[in-house]
Amino acid sequence: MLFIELAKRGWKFELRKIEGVTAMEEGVNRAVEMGRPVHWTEGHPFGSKLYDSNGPYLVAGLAILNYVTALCARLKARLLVNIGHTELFPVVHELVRYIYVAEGAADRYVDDDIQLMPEQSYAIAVVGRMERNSVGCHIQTGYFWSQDMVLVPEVAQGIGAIVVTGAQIDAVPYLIMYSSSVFIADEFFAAAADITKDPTDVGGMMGCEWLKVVAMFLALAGSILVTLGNNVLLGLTNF
Amino acid sequence: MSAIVRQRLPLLIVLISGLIMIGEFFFNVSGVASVAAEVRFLAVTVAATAMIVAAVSVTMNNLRNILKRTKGQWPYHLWCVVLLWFWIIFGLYSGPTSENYLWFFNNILAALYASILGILVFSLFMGFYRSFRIRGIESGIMIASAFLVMLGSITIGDLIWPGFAPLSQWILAVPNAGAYRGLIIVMAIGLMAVAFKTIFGMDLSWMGILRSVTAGKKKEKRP
Repeated sequence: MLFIELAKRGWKFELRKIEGVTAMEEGVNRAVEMGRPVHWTEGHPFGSKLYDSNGPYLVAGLAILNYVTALCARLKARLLVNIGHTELFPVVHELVRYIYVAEGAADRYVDDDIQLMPEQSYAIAVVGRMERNSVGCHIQTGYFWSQDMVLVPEVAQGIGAIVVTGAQIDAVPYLIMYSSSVFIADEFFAAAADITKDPTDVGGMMGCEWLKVVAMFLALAGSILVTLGNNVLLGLTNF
Repeated sequence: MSAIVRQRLPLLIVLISGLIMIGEFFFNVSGVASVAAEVRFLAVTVAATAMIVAAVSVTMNNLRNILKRTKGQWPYHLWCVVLLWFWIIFGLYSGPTSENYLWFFNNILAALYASILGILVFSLFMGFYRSFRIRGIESGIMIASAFLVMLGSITIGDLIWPGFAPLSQWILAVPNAGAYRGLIIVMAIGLMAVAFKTIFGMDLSWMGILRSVTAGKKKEKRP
């Protein structure tokens, strides 16, 4: 909160450029040049729900969808959206429609382009739709599980799409294999700050950076103290 | 819809729900736990209601394609609608835990799902083949460690040199676990930041609020 407040008061914080954001922009531009659609998805609901502890991954994914939709509306690219979570379906519908209207491209908003895919056959349904429409850029940000973190980006790469992904840490090794660019660890959450340069996002990310420094210091201090036989820091975790 | 109902009300609901959940987890206040359980139950109920919206939307989308006779696709859309409503009606009639329903589920859906998972092996091989190329020092270290871990996990590795298994265990337990925990801590901090911003209404992107939309637009310079 301190850093958000400082950023709002005009303090300038420098954040490094996140490669995934640049890759997304390049991917959408390339899809436009090739006359192919852009595709976005957020995973199937087996491992995550909007209302459970993995919900923030989906919220962070929506922030990226926000940007992708704005880019597509601006560059006149067709955006295909596949949703796995029923609770996200109306939210995404509203969000995409709202952005198209805000970008002055309400006439290009197509209701059918946003579809819900069933849980068990999510990956096959998404893959089928991607292949039928021959997508030029595939972006998947959210929480992914088995089939969606292996099969979906693999097929996207197979049809020649630029693949940009971001997910929970368990999925990252798999996504690295199949993607042109990956949001690694907290880059996924920092993407919004890099895109918007909004004081709230930038300040929030700066706060996270300092929390990381504190975590590193505690880990180092804890390791040294435990090696010396002192369990003071270890005891703090059992409060 | 007025801005109050459209923007302020959802934010208020998120704030109250978030504070109740934080209160339940961090503070041992009597009564909060039961309220939090009610909120969780409400969330599940709302999500279940969204299922109805989804079923209607899927039907409408598919019906549009059937009526348009989309070339080469409309029979699949028809099949999708038939199956969707078959499962809904069948489930409502016999109950989702009935023997007949479970027979269909286990012998059709579960079998198909297992087949899809089987395909993943080939995708993984393709991915490994593409990724396991030495392009630099980092990828060289990754491949060497992956090779050692694999040798430590397979029986022939033990026959070649008995030291592969302990070495593999050390790689997994020390450098791998250390780096992995570091990443988990970083992710947890990021998750906290997103949850915090969402609960207190600082991040409105999930509502499609325009702050993020105007991003990327270059500011016009005045002459």
